[in-house]
Amino acid sequence: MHKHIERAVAEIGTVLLGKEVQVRLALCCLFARGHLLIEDLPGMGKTTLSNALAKVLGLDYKRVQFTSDLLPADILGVSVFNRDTTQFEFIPGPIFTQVLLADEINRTTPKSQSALLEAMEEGQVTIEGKTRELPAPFFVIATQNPSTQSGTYPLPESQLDRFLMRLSLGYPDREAERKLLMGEDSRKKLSRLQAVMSIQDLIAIQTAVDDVHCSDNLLDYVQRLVEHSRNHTDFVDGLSPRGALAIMRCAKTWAFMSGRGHVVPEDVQMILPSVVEHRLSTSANALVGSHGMSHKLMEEIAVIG
Amino acid sequence: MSIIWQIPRNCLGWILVAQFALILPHIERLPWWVMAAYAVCASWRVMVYQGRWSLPPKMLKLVLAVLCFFGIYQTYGTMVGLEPTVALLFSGFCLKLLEVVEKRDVYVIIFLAYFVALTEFLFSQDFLVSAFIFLSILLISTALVALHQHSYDTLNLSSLKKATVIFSQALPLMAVLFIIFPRFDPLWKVPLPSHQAKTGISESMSPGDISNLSQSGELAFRVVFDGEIPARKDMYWRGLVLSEFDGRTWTQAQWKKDFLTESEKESLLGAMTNPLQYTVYQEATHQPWLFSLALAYADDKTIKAVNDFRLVRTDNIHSRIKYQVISDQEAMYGQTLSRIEKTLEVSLPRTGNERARKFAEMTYSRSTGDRDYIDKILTKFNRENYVYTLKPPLLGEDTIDEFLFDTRRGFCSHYASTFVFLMRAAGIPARVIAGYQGGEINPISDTVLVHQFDAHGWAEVWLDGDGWVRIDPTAAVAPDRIEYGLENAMAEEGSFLSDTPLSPLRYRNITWLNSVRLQMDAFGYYWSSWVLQYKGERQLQVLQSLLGEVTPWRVAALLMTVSSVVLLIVFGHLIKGRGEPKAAVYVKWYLRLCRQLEAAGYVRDASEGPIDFARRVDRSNPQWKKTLLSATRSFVRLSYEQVSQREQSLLVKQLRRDVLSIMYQLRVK
Repeated sequence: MHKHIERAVAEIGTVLLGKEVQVRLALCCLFARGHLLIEDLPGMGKTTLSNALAKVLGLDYKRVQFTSDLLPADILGVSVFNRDTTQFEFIPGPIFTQVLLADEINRTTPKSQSALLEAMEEGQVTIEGKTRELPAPFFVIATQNPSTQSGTYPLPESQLDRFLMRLSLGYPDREAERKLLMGEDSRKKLSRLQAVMSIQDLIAIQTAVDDVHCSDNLLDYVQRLVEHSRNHTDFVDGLSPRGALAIMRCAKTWAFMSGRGHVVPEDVQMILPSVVEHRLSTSANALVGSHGMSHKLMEEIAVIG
Repeated sequence: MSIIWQIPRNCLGWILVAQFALILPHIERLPWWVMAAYAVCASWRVMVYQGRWSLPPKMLKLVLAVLCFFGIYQTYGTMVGLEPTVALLFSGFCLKLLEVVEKRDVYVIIFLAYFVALTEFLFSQDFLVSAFIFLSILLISTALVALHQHSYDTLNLSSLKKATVIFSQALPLMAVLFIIFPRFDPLWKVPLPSHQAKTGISESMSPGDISNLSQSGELAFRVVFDGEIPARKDMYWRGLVLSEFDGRTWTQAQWKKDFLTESEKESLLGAMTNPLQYTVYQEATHQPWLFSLALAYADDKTIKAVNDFRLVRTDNIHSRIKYQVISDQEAMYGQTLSRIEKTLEVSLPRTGNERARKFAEMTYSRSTGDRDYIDKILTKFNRENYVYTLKPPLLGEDTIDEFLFDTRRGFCSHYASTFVFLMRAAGIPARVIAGYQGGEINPISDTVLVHQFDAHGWAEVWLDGDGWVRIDPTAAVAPDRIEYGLENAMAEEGSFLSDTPLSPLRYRNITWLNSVRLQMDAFGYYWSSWVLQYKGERQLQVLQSLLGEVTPWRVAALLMTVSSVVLLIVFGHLIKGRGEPKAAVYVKWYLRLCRQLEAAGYVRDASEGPIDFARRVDRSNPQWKKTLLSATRSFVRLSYEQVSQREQSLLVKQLRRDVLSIMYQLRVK
């Protein structure tokens, strides 16, 4: 299984140069059965990463470009009157897929954003009073521009909370950028990407993650972190139990990806910024405190206590 | 099929250990077959535990019990008395192992064990024995703890640890109860061990019949002087006055049973000009006589003073006793001798030892007086070829003649006996005194130890005007015996304690061994005087110094105070334990390592994970980086991985080793 993981990382690395940690975190999010939000300025490779992820994992994927005039029916699907059968027939929207790439999710109105809500949490959608199951696995990989940019509708907190991780890619380092500039068109490369694992492999990894051991000492550490975020006035809102669960799930997955059968504090620290940053800060200061709050939290809590 | 309850493995192990510890001190006393019965019962129980055998049927148990009764009757010839009863208790204690079916039976065994533990005190209350019984009680408590623990180890040390904690919590309370609990005289007396032979000096003395004087290193008594300890050569501990001679054996005179009256005792005390005060701690002799220096006075209801200036107890001494004596060797008292006494103290058998009688008459006729005669006899012993030995030849009919003129080899009894005979033959009243001479001074406790091998016989002679005067003819032959003790006197012959090669007293020349022996002896003395003798006066004194005035309220207050302090401490620990879980050992070791590294300049931030820290330090490439990585690995595994108990203890050991190694290397730098 670890072979698959390493190959996936290497494969994605061919299109997204010099971002191994972010690639690993993104994979970690998916292996932990979570939805991923990639936030960065335009042109940083958000879409490339999301496309590559879907392709490499061998999943069936659809892409929706979110615009300000997008309607919920555009995502979920719509019933159309069939003249032959004289009945309304349901045309499934792009959400009926294994991976939904929601590009620039904060460009659309809250109404359309919330159409994603039920789908993300429950793996099902209700259209015209009828509940329809989504295929499994079902991932949403959304990208968004920083909310300070013009023409954005910031995601509501409730919806942010539904993303297991929020990643930022950041500028590439000099060497990686040089390679990028010298290399061929990334679109071509993207089309050449191959799936390195099957759905069975993916499910096997997801199940194996559940068996990773969490000792009492580690749970103590996580609880100290969570409690601190709730008690300390520097944090506007503390971490919710869902947030705490998210930390545990990601830490377990990270430990598994690192080839360990048990979680160590380093795993928690590794995934913590991506998992808690978007939960700790309100949407209003989302970018202001980027990477600030989670690091503050880590620094204030002793690992061994 | 019903479910069979089993004694937990750990508990069974501890019960067997505790039982063995209980039997151990009795091993010399119990008949051999009780040990065999224990071995059989214990192995049977183990087989039952392993599921190979089943418990014995009722009939067999009955037969075993009857066999035990029969065996005890066969061994002791009676069912009454201390030893048969203890043996019975022990055999029942062993057989009970075969009767454990339910948990409550284990309780029976354990509570019985507490009771059985105390039986040893009936035989000895030595501090070593007491320490061992404390240990046994700890082991029994461990079994009790183990009964309530879940463990699959055979002898889990955590049970012992827990029992030790509980035990030590009880200690302060025990100490207080020891101090304040009133000592009652026993309501019933435990019948005494019957086999204990009479030890110490005997009632009669017949030197001709002994060819090899057996000596023992046992303590006869111990003396604590209030003032300075007198010189060794002046310490003649009088015990018996032997006045009757039948030609072979000296015995106590039947007629001499007069005790001093109170007024006579008063005048004796009044006659003392230079009194010496001391306390004697005498071991059990099962005889009534006491030992004291010459002209002894004791203010004690149970002690009588005999008119030959000895002290005698009203009943036999069956356990260690203590008595205070005032003595003055120079007191001018009892300067008259009645006619009857005078006749009796010169009486000899009508016939026998003719050569000696003639020699006495001849020598006396050539002497200028009694004193000159005594000097002449002593000079004869001193100048002529007389030998002091512990291995004298046996003597025939005329013991005095044979010794005086033929064999010329003997120990103190020979010389004393012969000397007194020669005195009486010349018409001078004289008698043989049996007792002890000298003693060893233990500098640690400042006491004089008188051992059985210090037993001695000497003479007293009546001189008009001086009264009874002590003459030790042995001193004329072997002055070393009196000045330095038997060991030095016998250095050449090598016969000192030759029949007890293991006696530590034989090895007094090995300095450290001797100092250990003296330490043990001093401790035994303090034990006996402060623990065993802690009653009556002494208890009252201690209580008074503690409480000022001894009232029930104050005693109760003392008891309450100590118990509440103990309870508060225990309670405090419980509360503290609840608030924050106690840090595990490995966490303590790891944090210790971090502190040491911090001092060496490698600071781990509290929020830094151990692996990250190790990697960071590793980059600066210190000498001990491998050890640090190994320590970190152990710590991480202990903290975050699922490890079995066995693995855990191994890892903790490994961690400790690594931490100590790094600390050592840092220090060397």
